[in-house]
Amino acid sequence: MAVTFEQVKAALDPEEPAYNKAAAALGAEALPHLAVLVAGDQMMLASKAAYLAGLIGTAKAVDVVQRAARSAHASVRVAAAAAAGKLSSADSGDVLIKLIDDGDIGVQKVALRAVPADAPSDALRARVQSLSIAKGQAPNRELALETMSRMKVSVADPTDAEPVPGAARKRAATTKRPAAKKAVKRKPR
Amino acid sequence: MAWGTQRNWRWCSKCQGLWFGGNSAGRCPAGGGHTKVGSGNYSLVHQATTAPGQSNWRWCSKCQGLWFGGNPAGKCPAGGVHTKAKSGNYTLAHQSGAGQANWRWCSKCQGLTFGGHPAGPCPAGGLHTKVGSGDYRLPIVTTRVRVHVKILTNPNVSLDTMMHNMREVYATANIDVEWASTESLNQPTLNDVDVGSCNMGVVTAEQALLFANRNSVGANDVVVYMVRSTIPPFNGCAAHPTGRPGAVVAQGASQWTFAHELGHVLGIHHVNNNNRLMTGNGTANITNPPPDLVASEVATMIASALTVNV
Repeated sequence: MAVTFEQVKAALDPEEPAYNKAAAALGAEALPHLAVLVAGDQMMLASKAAYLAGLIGTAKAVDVVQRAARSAHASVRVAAAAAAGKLSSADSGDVLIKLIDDGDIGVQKVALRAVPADAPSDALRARVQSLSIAKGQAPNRELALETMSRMKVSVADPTDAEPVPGAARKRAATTKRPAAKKAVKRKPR
Repeated sequence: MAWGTQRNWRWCSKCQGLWFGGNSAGRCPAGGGHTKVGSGNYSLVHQATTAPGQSNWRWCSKCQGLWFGGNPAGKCPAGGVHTKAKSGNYTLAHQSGAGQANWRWCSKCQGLTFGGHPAGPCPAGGLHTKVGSGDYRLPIVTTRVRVHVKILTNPNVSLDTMMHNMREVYATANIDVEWASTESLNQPTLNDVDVGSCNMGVVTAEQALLFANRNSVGANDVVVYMVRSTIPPFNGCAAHPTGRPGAVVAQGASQWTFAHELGHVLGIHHVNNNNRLMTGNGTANITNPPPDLVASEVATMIASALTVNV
């Protein structure tokens, strides 16, 4: 029997939805309804819908999460970032690149936490690395460093781009270089 | 923001009027001082121009009675007319709301009297009248819970509405909700707070950090943190560190979420009934507001260390 909009909404209406149970019970048939809720004007339901889509995790679910990542409401984008953390590593890259670049501290924080240890996207790894060496008091810099560590990527010395004459030998002895990129198998969709 | 409540308002069985029992017995139009024998302990919302209801009710320091200050002062049993000097501004639930109904404004003396009994003597002569009066509701309380609010993001439903609704529901359990303080917190990295699985007794590092912001709040006081969102997305979450009772409520929460989460903090759990505050189907679906608390829930709430007898 097809999953109805009312069933999906009933699963998301509680103050504290049972997401895992809802994902198992509703499955991919819920996704068209989740897409409607993500696009709707009820911020709370849109956030919950985005997160549930992440747990369902099919290719169509990625579309729902990506749609949430474009929301005008920061809290929906936060939910999209959390949802991206539930997608496969191969599927989460594009969403996370966008959300790590989000100007909102909370969205960026959750997106950084959602970066998988085996992130296959070079662009994603580069974005995290860029944040980790950001100048000034970037609020999520420490988190970016932790994320780099989790990905087992050493932080490049920002001065590498412009070596100081005569200092190269000393730096080479003390500074970790970026680890060689591992070959990562993409998971089939 | 934050309005207070004041208890120790009493019904006088001699004149049927409401008077403040925290001072002397004042002057009763039936003769002598007012009596509190047989009266419950009424709680009034105080200094609350933003609270729902009718404001401009005043305490008369001469007779200790409550009277409506929106009209010219009525006759006072202590002589002359009522005074509002030194009085706060009281707001009464009017025509709807929880509490004891049938409190009436007397157009002769401007006082508030209980209309459920034969009219008592009026200082303006004869008996009090209820002609032209609305129906005022006064909560009778036996315990209280003190709530502090710390705001990282203001909710979409106003705090006034959330607090008023909570006060209304809790009044049915004779619990007085005191809105003790409101503070803004500048904690942008905790504004979207990771609440994990939101199970009682289990908290994340972010919850521990957030709930550390108590700022001299009493050990048995509850702190509710208004955040932009939780991760995963919940309307609210009542899991809290040991010894730091509280909850988080998200920006998109319903008008009943605050009261629902406080219910969890006081020890009550979800039910499958949309007429009740603790519905597990979403408080936005409450069908018969104000939602109910059943006797077993009330017993649990009153047994909590966070509710104190008054």
